[in-house]
Amino acid sequence: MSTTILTITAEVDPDRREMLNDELARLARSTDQSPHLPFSAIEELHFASLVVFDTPGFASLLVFELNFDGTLAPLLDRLLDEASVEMYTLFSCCRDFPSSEHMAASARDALSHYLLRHVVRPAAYHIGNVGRTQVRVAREAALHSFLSQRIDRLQRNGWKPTSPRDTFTTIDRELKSSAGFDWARQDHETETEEERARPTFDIAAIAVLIAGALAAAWWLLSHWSGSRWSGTAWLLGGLVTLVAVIAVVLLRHEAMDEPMDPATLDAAHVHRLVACEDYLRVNHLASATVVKDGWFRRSLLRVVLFVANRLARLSTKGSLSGIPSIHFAHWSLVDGGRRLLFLSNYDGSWGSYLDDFVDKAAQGLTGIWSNTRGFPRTRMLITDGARDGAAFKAFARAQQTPTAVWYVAAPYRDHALTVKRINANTELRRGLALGLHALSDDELSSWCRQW
Amino acid sequence: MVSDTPANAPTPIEVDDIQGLVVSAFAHLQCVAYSLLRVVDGPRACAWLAEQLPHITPSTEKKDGWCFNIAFTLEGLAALGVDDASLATFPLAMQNGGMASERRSRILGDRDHNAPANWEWGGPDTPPVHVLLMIFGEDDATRDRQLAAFLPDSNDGLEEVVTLKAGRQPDSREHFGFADGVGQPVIAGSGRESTQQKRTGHHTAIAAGEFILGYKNADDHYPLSPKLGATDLGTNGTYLVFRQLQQDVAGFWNAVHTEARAIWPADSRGPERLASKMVGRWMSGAALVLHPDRDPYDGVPQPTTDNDFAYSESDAHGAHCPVGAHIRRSNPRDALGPDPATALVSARRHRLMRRGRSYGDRIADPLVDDGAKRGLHFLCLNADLERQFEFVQQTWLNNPGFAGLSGELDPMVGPSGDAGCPFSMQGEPLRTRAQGIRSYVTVVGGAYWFMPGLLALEMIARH
Repeated sequence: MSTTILTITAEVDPDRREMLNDELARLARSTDQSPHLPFSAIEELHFASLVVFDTPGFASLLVFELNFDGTLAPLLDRLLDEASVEMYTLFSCCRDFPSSEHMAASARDALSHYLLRHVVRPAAYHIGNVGRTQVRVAREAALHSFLSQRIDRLQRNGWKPTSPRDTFTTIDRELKSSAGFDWARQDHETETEEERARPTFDIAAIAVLIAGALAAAWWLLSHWSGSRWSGTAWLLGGLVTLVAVIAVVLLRHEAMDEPMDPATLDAAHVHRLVACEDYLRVNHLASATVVKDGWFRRSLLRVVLFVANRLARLSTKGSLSGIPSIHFAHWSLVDGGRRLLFLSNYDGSWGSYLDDFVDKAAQGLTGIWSNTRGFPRTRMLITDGARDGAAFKAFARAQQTPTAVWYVAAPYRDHALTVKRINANTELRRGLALGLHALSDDELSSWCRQW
Repeated sequence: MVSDTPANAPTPIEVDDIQGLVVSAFAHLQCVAYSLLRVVDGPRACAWLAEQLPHITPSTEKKDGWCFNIAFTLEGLAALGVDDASLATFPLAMQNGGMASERRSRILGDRDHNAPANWEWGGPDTPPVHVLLMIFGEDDATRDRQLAAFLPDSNDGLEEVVTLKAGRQPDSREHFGFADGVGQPVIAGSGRESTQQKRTGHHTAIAAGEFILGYKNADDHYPLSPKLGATDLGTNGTYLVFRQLQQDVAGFWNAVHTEARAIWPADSRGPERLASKMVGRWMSGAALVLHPDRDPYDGVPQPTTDNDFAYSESDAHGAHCPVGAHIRRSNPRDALGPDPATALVSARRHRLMRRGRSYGDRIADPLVDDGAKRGLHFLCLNADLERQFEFVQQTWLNNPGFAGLSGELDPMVGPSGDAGCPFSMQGEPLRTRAQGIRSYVTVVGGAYWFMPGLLALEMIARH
């Protein structure tokens, strides 16, 4: 099943800011038991958050992040079934919220329209466990936990598995003799053939488009200049000039950049951030950065995000450019492309997450964030920048905003399920669904190791 | 694994301005006293500090039979009169109560028995600790003589909170019986590479800036450095982590015996095997990666221990050294991916210079509790408390999702409560899982300290 990542984003009415803060504080207090934030009844929902971004020079934004299974329309219905009062209270603190007379006729429809009108789709996003619904994540975790205990018991009673084949057969037999796991043998695919082929197809289509455009340009230039050779020369010359001009403009921009001084990081701000971290084994990061002035940076950022998004679709085994710990992350542009929002739901500590950025994904992240103000000094869009770990972390902290309310679905909250573990659980279930004969020797050994 | 000294020689470090413990463990001085003091009169304490300056041991010399080093908590610097603006330039981890604060406890896993509320020193309910005197001596008498000489009296503006002593240990084992301190990085430019090479068959030279402020770190950048007013205070200094870890030796071995009988009823050496799997080394210190089947030295620590191994090639799935074993969690080497080379570079940004020592007498029978207190004064040095010490604690040791594991903590020190947690020992074709593994190590005190260079010490004393 497809997964949807988006935000509902609205400008806060300054006159109602206090009311909004009160409501957010009330919701934050209740997220654990959840009597007032009945998201736990919405089994399509993986993670959700509410953040207010106050960036100097911009209107304050209320951002409602939703990561869920399926498409928006049914989710919105479920949301309004379960939390229409909360939604009303929150968004009535925002600008252009329909006045109560307009609401009266069909309050639910009016609220629903308002939310739909304020949907922002991400410019780039990442999903750690592609194709896994929340229900499936929970079920496969339960299967893993149940069979693990069975294995322990067998081993303590003297069972010594002699081969991967013996291991599989014995565990398979345990499953067969246990009630309640019929689902495990059915419908184990995470993606349809079409979904699997889609990212590659998209990139191929883009390549064809670019090739077509170049061919057309070459044809026109050849016609205009009178020969194929001169047409080729004009085309190549033109491309080289274009790249050179972009490089020179970029270098000039980079020379004028004003990186943030890490020593100016406000300690009180960081204390507010860390006060809401590490209660669970997953954490949330919300940040808003101001895109550097001028059309050049704004366009460049759009291009980089477009490329990043295509590459992220190709990501296999749950990693985003080598980072193995992100469940859902997304970048979106707001305020006509002048502000970049980043929202991430990740395993482990902020420190380990940021270190992964620095060690494994510095170039990609530098390519994106070097187009925003205060980023560490960067050369040619992707080098240096985030490689200066301390400066990058100070930048990241300075741009981060405390998450006002965070909802984490039960499997992630109670079972500390990491992206890696969820994938391992899926592999175990897939093996049991396919059966011994469908697995190669390598697949079988790997399957045994996932216990 | 190839020993990887960078081709371009590292900048030599300024040994005459760096306190001795940074470069040397003072292994030849087997007796130590850690004296924790409280400042009662800032100006007097500064005057006292100024008098001590000539006696502080730098990294150049080894004094006859004794050495003396000193460090301060952030509260200590405040009590000595360092202004708020300067204090704000110190690491976040030291601010707002430092190691005993609620936030740090969450990071470090200091809950239940380990909670600062139960600490004997450094906790919220014990007297504040400001200044740490570390006095090393070749024997008890020398140490005690120097302690008496350096300990301030009532006119010096300082009072003694507690003095923790540790004497000569019969060998290089910690109290559970395992050879300790095998794996240790070397500071590039310290001239110690060859010593480590001889002792362990390899050495990992780590950029000086990972351990000493004022030098370039592994990222080729200078670590953030604290200031006094407008002047840099960090150069040639470091941050010291001090945690007193009490070990319940009989508790540990009885639990190991019980669990080993449950999983390997027929194996008379089951307890030794289970404990070694939990540690990742045999009791002699020999690594399980290199010696998967039995202890080649039959439990006896050797003067040299082969430490030249990696995980990804010879033990990627943990069949020899379990993925969650203590040494694999505390330094995963090249194991964590996405590829071995990247993993190794990444792991090296989280190394610690350990300077700990066992305290208390060895237990006579490891299965019979004698009621005596013993443990480890865990000390380590690093340039970035959050990226190094706290990272190791939070992301590696106490992480239930470490390397794809599920609901397991470090089997030796993880805060898994009384019920404990599972511990998987990977194998071919299938893992074996020990149950109810809990830690028999309790944190009974701790604090973060700034250990300045000698010039910086003078600046603090005379500011």
